[in-house]
Amino acid sequence: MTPQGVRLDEPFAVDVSRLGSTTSIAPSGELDAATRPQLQAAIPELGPGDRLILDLRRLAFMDSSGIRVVMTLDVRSRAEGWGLAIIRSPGAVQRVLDLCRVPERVRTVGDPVELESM
Amino acid sequence: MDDRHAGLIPEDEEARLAAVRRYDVLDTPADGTFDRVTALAARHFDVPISIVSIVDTDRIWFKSHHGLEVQQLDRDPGLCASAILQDDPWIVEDAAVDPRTLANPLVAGDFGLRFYAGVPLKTSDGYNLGTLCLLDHEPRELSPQETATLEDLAAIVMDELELRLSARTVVDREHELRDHAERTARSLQESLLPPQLPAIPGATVAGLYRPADASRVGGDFYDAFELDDGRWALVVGDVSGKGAAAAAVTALARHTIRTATLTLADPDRVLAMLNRAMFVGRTEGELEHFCTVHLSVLEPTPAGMTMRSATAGHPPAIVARAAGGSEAVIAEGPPVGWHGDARYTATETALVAGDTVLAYTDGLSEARRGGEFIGEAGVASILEAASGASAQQVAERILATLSSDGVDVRDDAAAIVLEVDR
Repeated sequence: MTPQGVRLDEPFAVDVSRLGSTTSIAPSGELDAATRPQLQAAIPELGPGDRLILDLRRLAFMDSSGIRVVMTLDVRSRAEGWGLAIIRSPGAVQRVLDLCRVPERVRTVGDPVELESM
Repeated sequence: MDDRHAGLIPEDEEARLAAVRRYDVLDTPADGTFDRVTALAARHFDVPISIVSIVDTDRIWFKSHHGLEVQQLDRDPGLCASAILQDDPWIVEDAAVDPRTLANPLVAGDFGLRFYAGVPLKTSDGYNLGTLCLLDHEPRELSPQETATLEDLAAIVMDELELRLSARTVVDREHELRDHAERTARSLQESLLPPQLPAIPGATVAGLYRPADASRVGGDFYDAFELDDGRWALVVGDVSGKGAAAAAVTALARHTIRTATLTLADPDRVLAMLNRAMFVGRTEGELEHFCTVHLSVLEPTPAGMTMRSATAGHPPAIVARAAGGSEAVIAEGPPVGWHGDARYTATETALVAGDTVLAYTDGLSEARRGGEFIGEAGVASILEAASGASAQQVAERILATLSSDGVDVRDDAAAIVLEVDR
């Protein structure tokens, strides 16, 4: 699930923005076991009616740690009654999500505009 | 024990000698701490000689000897050998006239010892190992204050010995715990891997497993077994987490896959059943252990074999073709244990003589070589480069890659290799 030739030199960062009840989390760089805690720490406590958008467009690479984050968020969102959506990433990151059939479980869109109807 | 030792052996001698051994100080090199104490004692009391002695079975060995060249003496009566028989300081103000010391060679001989003051080095459990002592060629008196100072210095020596013992005990205990953990992990791990892979007619198989940390049971596993209709199953899986809890899930996964594959023909249905089994008795709203799996069912054909594969969130297996090149076996499916609505699809691959299949866990593809992930393409090139090699040789090459310099493996890695007979 890992593309060859990915350089691990771009630092990992998480951009968090909030608008009303919607929190948008946009990781960039490479998501792996080492950076996963940084992403998880950025995820706020959410409650019924809230919405979390995981924007993966700037993620260059993700290993199985990324799937683990998605699964954890999906399980939490259903238990706690908040909404979860993923903005798909082109290329290798999306391939990992597709292999795990993430779009069948978590609403996945290509463009944030599609989320306005959510 | 000869007559010279008569009256010198404490009642608890056997236990005392065990204590001497436990502190592990006999015949160790000189060192600064004890030498500083004897130098300080000699200077403070203005005596030519100060010694830290340890009384062994038939000798008195000096851990530190300030002002005296010899390293050890016989266990003769009158001085250290007698001092350890009591807990109070042993003071001989004029050895030339003291009946306790007259027979001692240091007193009777050329050395001409006249003064001796020794304080026993008493362990926390009450054994006298030896003494801190002062020696002089002139008779002397020791005031109560001076005696108290000598006792304090002896206590410092003993504190140092205790400190070293406890440091050594901690290190020994850590080694012991680590050895135990590694032994337990190894035996648990072995119970989760088939002791020997079966001989599959028309193909050879090899498995490999490489833990990232030998002291913890990993969640990676592989398996190969025969179904009762002449078909065979190959499995590679990766359970999240480590340790005993992960091992229990690994056992559940491995046995469920075996049982389900025997009754259900299709690998996708087996994974769906495994997924249901993972949810039995589980708390809602928490992602507990999950598991990625590759399962292939192989059926011999006149041309080679047909392989039906299903995966649950697992890296695609790779088929290296006898004719050259390789392809990924893509079968989508969520990791087992994530959610109850998981759907799996099987994909079919025709294998011919000389084709090699490699199913592996992400510990292999997510290992880094020179800072870069090996990746699926990297795994495929290892397999392609091994063209013509046996399944066992391919497994060995993969292990060699993972163990080579500049390769950073952060997770357990497991794989199973199948080569269709040429």
